[in-house]
Amino acid sequence: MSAVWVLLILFLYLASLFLVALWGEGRGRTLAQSAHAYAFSLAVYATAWTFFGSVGRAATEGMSFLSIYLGPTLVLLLWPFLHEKLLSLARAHRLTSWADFLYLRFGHDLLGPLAAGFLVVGLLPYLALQLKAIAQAFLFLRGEEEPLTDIALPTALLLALFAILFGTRRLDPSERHQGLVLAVAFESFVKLLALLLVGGVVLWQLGNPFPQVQNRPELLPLLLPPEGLAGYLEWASLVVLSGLAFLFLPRQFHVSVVENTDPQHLRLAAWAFPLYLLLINLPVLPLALFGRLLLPEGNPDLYVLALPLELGNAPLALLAFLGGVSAATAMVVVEGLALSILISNHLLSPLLLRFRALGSLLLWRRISILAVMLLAYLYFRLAGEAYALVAMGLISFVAVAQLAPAGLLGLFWKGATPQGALAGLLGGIVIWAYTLFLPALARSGWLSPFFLEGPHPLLRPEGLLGIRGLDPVTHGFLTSLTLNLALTLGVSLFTRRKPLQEERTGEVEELAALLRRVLGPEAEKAFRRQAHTLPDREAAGLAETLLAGSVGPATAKLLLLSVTREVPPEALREEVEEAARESWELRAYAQALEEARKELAEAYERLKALDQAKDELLAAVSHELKTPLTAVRSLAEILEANPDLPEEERGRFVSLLAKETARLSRLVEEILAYTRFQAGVPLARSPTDLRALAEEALALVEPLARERGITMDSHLAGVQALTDRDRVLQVLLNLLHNALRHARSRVRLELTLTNREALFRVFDDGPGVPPQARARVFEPFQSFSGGTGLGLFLARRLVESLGGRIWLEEGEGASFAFTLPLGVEHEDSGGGR
Amino acid sequence: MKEKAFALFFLALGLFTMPLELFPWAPKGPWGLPTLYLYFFLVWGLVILLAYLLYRKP
Repeated sequence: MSAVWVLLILFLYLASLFLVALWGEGRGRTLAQSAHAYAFSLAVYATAWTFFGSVGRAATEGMSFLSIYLGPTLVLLLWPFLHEKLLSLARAHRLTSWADFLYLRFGHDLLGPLAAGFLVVGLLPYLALQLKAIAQAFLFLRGEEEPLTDIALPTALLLALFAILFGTRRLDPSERHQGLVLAVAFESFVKLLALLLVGGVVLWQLGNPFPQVQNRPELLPLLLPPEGLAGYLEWASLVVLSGLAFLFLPRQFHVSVVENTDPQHLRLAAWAFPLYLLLINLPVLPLALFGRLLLPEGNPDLYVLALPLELGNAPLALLAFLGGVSAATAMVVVEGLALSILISNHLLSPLLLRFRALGSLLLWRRISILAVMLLAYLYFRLAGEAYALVAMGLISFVAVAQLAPAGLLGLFWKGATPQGALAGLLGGIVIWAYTLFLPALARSGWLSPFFLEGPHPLLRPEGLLGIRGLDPVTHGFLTSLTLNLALTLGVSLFTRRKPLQEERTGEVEELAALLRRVLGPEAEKAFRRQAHTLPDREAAGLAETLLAGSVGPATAKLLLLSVTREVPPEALREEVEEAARESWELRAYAQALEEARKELAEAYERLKALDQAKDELLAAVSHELKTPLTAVRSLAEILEANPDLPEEERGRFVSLLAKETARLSRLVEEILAYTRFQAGVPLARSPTDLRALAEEALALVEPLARERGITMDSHLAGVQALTDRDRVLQVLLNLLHNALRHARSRVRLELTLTNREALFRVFDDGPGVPPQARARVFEPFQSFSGGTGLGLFLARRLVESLGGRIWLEEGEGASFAFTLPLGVEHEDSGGGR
Repeated sequence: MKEKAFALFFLALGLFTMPLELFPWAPKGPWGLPTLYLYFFLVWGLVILLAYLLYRKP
C-alpha cells in the first residue's frame, strides 16, 4: 500500500479529531456533555493494546485476553460506592487525580509527589506502546518490517499539540474539556466500528473458524480454560488487576471523574461501557484463530491488519489501521494530559513556587505534555523492539494498581494513616520494580542478567520465596500488592492518626488578592462571589480548594500560609464544640420537659373538669329524682292518712301520683339511655329506610299529640342510609317529645336529602327558646318547661356518634335540625365529642 | 439500590472468576462454538442486562 496514501489518511484522520474537538467546544457542547458521550469516553480504556494486542494474546494464550475487560465491568457495577464518592470529593476539593486524593486524605507531603513520579515512570512504557502500535501498523501497511521509521514522532507531536490546545487552555485542570471528551468519544466509536467491520467481513468471507480449528490439535488449547492452579491464579489476578487499573489509571480518573458533568451519567455508563467492551471483544477470538490458520508465520499483534490484506481488501485494512490509530491516539492524548497535570501539580509547582515562577505554571504544564510525549517516543525508540505489546501494558497496570490499597482504604477506612499509606506505596513500588520493571529492562539488554536471577534462589525476581510456575506478571502483581496491602494495614494499625489538616483562617480581602495574583481576576471574582457570605475559616478553605485545583494541593497549602493564620488548636475547638453541643442538648432536654409538664397540666385540668361535670351530673340527677319522689311520697302519705277523702279529691291525687311516677319513669329511662351511651355500646349499622323510620316515630308520638290537641304533619323524602336505626329513632323521639311539650297547636317533621346527607327538621309553633338559653340548650339538665333536661343533650350525643351534627335554627317557634351521613364514616361509637 | 449493586457485583465476580477447571469445557459446543467462549459471553451479557435493569431508572 502506498505510504503517501496511508500518511495522507492518517493526517486527515488526525485533522478530523481537531474538528470534532472544536465542534465539541462550540455547537456540539450539548452532545459532549451527554451521558452517551461520557460512556463512550470511558472507552479510552481500550487502547491499541485492545485493538491489536488482544488478538495477539488470544492467538497465543487463548481466552485469557477476556479477563482484561471483565475487571472494568465489575468495577463499574460498584459505581454507587466508588465513583459517586469520588465525584462528590472531586467536586468539593477540585481533585484532578488519585495523587491529589492521597495528599488530601493523608496530608503527607511525600505521598503526592511519590505517587505522581511513580505513575509517570510506570506509564511511560504504556504510552510508548501506543506510539509503537501506530508505527508498527504503518510499516506493516507499507510492506516494511524494519526499521521502525519516524512516523511515530510527527504523530506524537500532533497529539501533544492536540492535548495542549484542548486540554490546557486554562490553568484550572479541574474544569471540563468538552472538545477533548467529544473527540475521545468519537475515537471510541471509530475503533469499535472498525474492529466490528473487520471481524464481520472476515467472518463473512471466510466463514466460521471454530470447526476448522477442530482439525488442528495444536490450536485446541486456545479454546480451553487455563490449566492448573497457576492458570486459575493468572486468570483471577488479571480480572482483579484490570479492575484496579480501570479505577486507578490517570486517564480513567480524568474522563470518569474530572470530565464528568453529571453523576447520573454513571447509570448509563454502568451497563453501556461493559456492553461496548463485550462488542469490541466479540470478533477477537475468530480473528485470532483465522490468523493462526491462515498466517502461521505472521506477527499475531498485526492479524487485524494482515487478515484484510490477505483477503485482498485494502480499504478494510486501512479502516483497521484507523481503528488502531484511534485507539492509540485517544489514550496518548488523555494519558499525556493526565500525566502532565500530575507532574505540574505535584512535582513542578512546588519548585516554581520556590523560584517565584508560579505565574508560568500553565506554560510548564504545556511543556510537560510535550516532554511526556517525547519521553514516550524516546522510550519506544530505545526499547520498542524489546517487548511484546501486552506484556508492557500489564506491567504498567501493576504499577497503577499500587495506588489501590492507600486509595481504597483511604476512602473507606478511617483508621488508615499517612505512615501506613506511605509504607504500603513504597513497599509496592520496590517489589514492582524488583519483580517486573527491572527484569523487563534486563530482558531488553539494558541491564545485566543479574536482575533476572537475583542474589539468591529465594530472591529470584520472577519467583520470590521459591515460587515456581507463575506467570511473571501474576507473580509481580500478587507479591507487590500483598506486601503493599499488608504494610498499609499493619503500619496504620500501629501508628496514630494525625489531624487531617491544620485548619487556617484569613481575611477575605487578602485571600482574594492572593487568588488574583496566582489565578487571575476571573478566579478572584468567582471567589468574592462565593466568599462574601462565608465565615473567614470557610473562606480560607474555599480559596485553598480553588488554588488546589490549579496548582496542586501541596502548593496551595504553601501559598495560603502567607495570608492565613491557624485557627484555635483542634483539641480546644473540640472542647468548645463539645460544650456547645452539650449545652444545646441540655436546652433541648429542658424544652422537652417543659412541654411534657404543660401537657400533664392540661390533662389534669381536663380530668378535673370531667370530675366536676360528673359531680354536677350526680347532683342534678339526684335533684331531678328527688322532686318527683318527694311529690309521690307526699301524695301517698296524704292518701294513707286521709282514708275518708272525697272521691273527687282522691282521684285528683291519684292522677298527680300517676303523672309524677310517669315523669320519674321517663327520667330513669333517659338516664339509663345516657349511661348505656357513655358505656360505649358499639354502633349497629344497617341499611335503614329513614322515611319509614320517621313515620314510625310519628306514629309513636301520635297518641301524645292527640291528647294535647296538637296537629302533626310531615314532609318526608325517600332516603336510604347505612346507620344505627335505634339511635336515630331515639333522636327523633326526643326531638318530637320536646316539640310536643312546647308546641301551641302544630308540630312538623321534615326529611330531605342534601349533599349526600339526610337532613331532619322538627318545627313547633311554641314560644321558642329564649335567646339567653340558646347556647345551653344541648347541655344536660337544662330544662325550661318541666322536662328532664336530658332529651336534647342525649339527642346531640347520639347524632354526633352517628357522624352527623345537630343545631337549633333561628326563626319563629323552635326548629331543631340534624343531619346524618348516608354511609356513616366518622362515627364515634360511644364517647361523643 | 446499593444492596442490589453489591449483590450484582458478587454474582458477577463469582461468574467471572469461578474455578473453570471444575467443569468440562468442550472445544466444540452448540453451533460449533467453543463452550468456554459461549459461557463467558453469555454470563457477561447477563451481567450487563442485570446492570441495565438495576440502573436504568433514577
